[in-house]
Amino acid sequence: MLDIKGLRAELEDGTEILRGIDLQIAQGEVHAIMGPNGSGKSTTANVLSGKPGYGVTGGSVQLDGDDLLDMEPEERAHSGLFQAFQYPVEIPGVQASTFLQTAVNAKRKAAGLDELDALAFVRELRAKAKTLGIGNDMLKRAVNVGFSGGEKKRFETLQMALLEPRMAVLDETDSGLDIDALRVVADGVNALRSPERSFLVITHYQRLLDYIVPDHVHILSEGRIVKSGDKSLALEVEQAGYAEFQAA
Amino acid sequence: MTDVFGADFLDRLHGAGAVQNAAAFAALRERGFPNRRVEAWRYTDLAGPLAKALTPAGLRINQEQSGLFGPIPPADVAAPAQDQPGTDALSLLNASLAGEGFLFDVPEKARLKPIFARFSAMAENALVNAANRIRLAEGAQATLVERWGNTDDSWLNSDTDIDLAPGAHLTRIILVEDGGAGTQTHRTSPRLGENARYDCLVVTLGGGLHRIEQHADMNAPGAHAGLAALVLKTGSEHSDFVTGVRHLDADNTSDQQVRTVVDQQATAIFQGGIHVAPDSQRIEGDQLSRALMLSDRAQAFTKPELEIFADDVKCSHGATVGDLSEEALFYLRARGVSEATARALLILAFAREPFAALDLPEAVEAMLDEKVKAWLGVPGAFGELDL
Ligand SMILES: Nc1ncnc2c1ncn2[C@@H]1O[C@H](COP(=O)(O)OP(=O)(O)OP(=O)(O)O)[C@@H](O)[C@H]1O
Ligand SMILES: [Mg+2]
Repeated sequence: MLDIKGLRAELEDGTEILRGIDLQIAQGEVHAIMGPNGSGKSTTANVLSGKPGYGVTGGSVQLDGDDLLDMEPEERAHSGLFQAFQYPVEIPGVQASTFLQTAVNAKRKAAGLDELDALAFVRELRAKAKTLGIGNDMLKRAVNVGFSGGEKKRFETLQMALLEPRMAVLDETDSGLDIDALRVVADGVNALRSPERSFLVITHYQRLLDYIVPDHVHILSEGRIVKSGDKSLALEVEQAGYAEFQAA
Repeated sequence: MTDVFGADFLDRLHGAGAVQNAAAFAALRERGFPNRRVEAWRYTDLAGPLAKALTPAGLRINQEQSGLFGPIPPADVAAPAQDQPGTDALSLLNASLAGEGFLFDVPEKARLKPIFARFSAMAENALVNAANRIRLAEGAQATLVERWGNTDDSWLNSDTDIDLAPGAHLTRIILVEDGGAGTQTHRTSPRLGENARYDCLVVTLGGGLHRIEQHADMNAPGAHAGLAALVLKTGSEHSDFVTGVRHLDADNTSDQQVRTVVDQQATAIFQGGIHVAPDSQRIEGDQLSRALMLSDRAQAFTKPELEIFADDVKCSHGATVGDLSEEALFYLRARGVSEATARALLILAFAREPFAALDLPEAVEAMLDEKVKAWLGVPGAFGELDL
């Protein structure tokens, strides 16, 4: 499914952030990335999504054999990649529901499907919003504007549920959530787990991984994966911190 | 005769026997049109329209719904806009050719449904002058949607005199839309009585040259003038939006909101005036101009002019010029929305700001929405969902 080889990336000012990442995620697997602040977790997710502002200086990323780094951001989304952002962007003046409908129909169009009419879309939207505890009032507001931290994360999860990606990257989707919201969001993610769908879950907290149980856990430090293991690695980190995993 | 600016244009009109009001014409022929050395005209050059071979013609008015609205015979002299050196030449032109206009006369306490009217030239490549009057008697409320349109090189030139009695509330949309490279110059002078309210949104699209002026006199306490504009320009289109709010009495407010989107090598100017007279205390006058530049060759200018002679006054002005948010664009694209669609959605959100703030009747808002979408090349897109 996702095959990252020797990925190196720098900022526009030439500062190298990713220093050779290797990561293979097979279909249906859930991988977790943990790591200290500033180690390059969000940068990895952003480079996968094609966010401007980063220069890829080496390595390759393939999604089901297609060269991801060659694609425009929207093409990556059409190929089934999804990033739940750590800091979702506010878009004043664009209603959340319009945004969602535009995104869903763009993806359908790219897949050669007919656009969903307003009625069919609203039916699906309401059903999925309800399971995430998102009410109509939120959907009528502008995208992320005035949303609380937790509401933003729920809204990211709703986008994922509607877009049904094959490869979902969740960047700290658990941070800012209260314990009930965490369960709601985790249930939302688990509902999407399937043999065809893979997840890369970036988190600081082992707690999330009690709900979304990963097949593999990786520690990222200074732009490199310095250790990989099973879910017990997350527990180890929680107890001992990152000191012993610092990159050489 | 001295060689004033536009002399040839005026001599052609005279030669064609078009002059109806000799005194107004003589005054105009004497001073000529304002050239770019006149400060208020430094961004806008009338040389283009003045070089065109235009034939005077009447104003076509299409309006079906209301008996309160109708054509009126030429006014003796079109009301000149206050305090705008040079601009009175256009009012003199209007008076010289004795343009017919419309009268919109709303009786006391009337509450009207929105009235839609369309204005165009009776002939092709015409010079059309109109002197209009709007009167709202005490406590009357009305929404008037005016659409001024050219399909060719015609020049529509109008003066609209507005009198709002105490407690009257006029919401007025002026949609200036040209299919061709036409010229439109419109001036409005509203006078506001006690607790009267004038909310006007100018939307200008297309055309060669548009210069729209709003000169409001706040004559009593409790009055409010909201002067907004949405300027959408591309190609080599040119728009000059000029305001002048005179707070001539105490305890009243004004708000000016301008949103500009310029693409290709289009030019948009906002000259926003606020004048507070010496004894006009407790005035609030706000002004905000935001421009989106979609091309390196496009230009947007904002020139605030605040003259404040009273001391207990809150006036503000701000201007920003920028491009679409990279962050928002990426967020949309990361959700699979094409760059073109993402841009259209973000520009639409920006363009809606001035009319979303107005609490317009639904039909009017929907009409404006569609205008913007058509301009963006996404007609019918982004419909609101019924949740
Ligand atoms: N667009 C950017 N401009 C400037 N610096 C950046 C940018 N993106 C990332 N960085 C820097 O790169 C480093 C890695 O950042 P990144 O966001 O990937 O860290 P992270 O592992 O996600 O951290 P956190 O746990 O705090 O979210 C940091 O030093 C950060 O300041
Ligand atoms: Mg991060």
